[in-house]
Amino acid sequence: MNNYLFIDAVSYLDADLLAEHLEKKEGFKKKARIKKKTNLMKWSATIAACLTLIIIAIPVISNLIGYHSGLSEDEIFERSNTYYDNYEDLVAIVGNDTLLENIDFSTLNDYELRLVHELDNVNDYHTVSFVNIMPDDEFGFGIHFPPYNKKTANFVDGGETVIINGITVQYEKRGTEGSNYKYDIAAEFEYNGCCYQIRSMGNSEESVFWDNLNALLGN
Amino acid sequence: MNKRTEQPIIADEQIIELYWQRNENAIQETDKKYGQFLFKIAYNILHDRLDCEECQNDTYLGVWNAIPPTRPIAFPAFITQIMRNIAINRFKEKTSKKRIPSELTVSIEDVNNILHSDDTVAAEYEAEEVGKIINDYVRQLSDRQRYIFIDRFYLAEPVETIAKDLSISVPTVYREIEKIKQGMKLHLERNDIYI
Repeated sequence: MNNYLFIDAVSYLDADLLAEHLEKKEGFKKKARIKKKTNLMKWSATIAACLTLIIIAIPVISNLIGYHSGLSEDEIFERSNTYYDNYEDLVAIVGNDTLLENIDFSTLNDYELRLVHELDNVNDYHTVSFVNIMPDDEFGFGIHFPPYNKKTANFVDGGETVIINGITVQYEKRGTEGSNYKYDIAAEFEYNGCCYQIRSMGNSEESVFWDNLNALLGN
Repeated sequence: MNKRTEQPIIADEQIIELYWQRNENAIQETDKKYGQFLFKIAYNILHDRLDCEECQNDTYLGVWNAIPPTRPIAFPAFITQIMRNIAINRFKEKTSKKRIPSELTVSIEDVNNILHSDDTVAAEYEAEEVGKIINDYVRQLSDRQRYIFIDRFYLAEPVETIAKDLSISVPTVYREIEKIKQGMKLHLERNDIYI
């Protein structure tokens, strides 16, 4: 089998495609440099939270490193993440008592449904990840099953609170300076013993986040 | 070669003009403006600092020999092509001897089960012919998928870098790569290249 056929074929990428790509890449670098110039105070709380996370997670990470030694990051990802084309197959593993039941998958244009689990064992799972992929927006969330560590589960730092259908939702509007988006919102709540962490961003309106959140909460 | 001065970085057209004048400052200016970028391309492929530096020097020599008679329209793309080809050749030499932890290896394995050649295929299609077909496919991709394809399979950038550039998650990048692979397989088959 000649692996180099593909490498060599890609070498013939048209110069105009490459030139356009490099311009875009340069543009992203410039935006990243602008984004780096943020207020240190804004990040101090995040840094404090990360330190807390690291201290709590050290025993977990030590176990993981020992268990995963010799595997590349890509291999670890592939063996601990399973994608599902339909909800029914996922329900067979995680059950139907999550808020995924409120999503009408038949109306979605494109979505990603993924189970995060121990290596090669879908039955030893800890998170379901769902992303509704729209032309200009994304609405995604992770369902963290117990036992999850409440301290490490902190995804929203401060922000505001709203009650939807009896569920208390904490949400935070994140800055979009230097990014490609008009809005970027994170939210978090607990339901049926699980921790739901939501991230929605896009170029339409913030109402996309609220519409999807209300639908998720059966409102 | 990696000298850093306080002088301003000059425009690509001026750098090209220096090559045409056979002014050796052309190489210094190229290194000043694109040295880090070229090194990164090589490092994604080779993961060895010494090899990368050698490839970088070979690239500058290659550019010096190519201009004139060439007057590239897009200088960054021009030097990227030269650097990539040199790094790929070095990569092939090294992988025949031992495994190297290269992003290129990972990105090849991404498509390993899609595109390969046995004697029959290699007899019928040279890499350039397959390259034309892949170019057609890349032009049909969405902006985001095209960016991912070129970054991953041409520049061998890590998935995390791609995710950061596009402000999307790493799993989303992996998902898009999977879609790209499936689409490429279909496109190849439509052009009589069967797996």
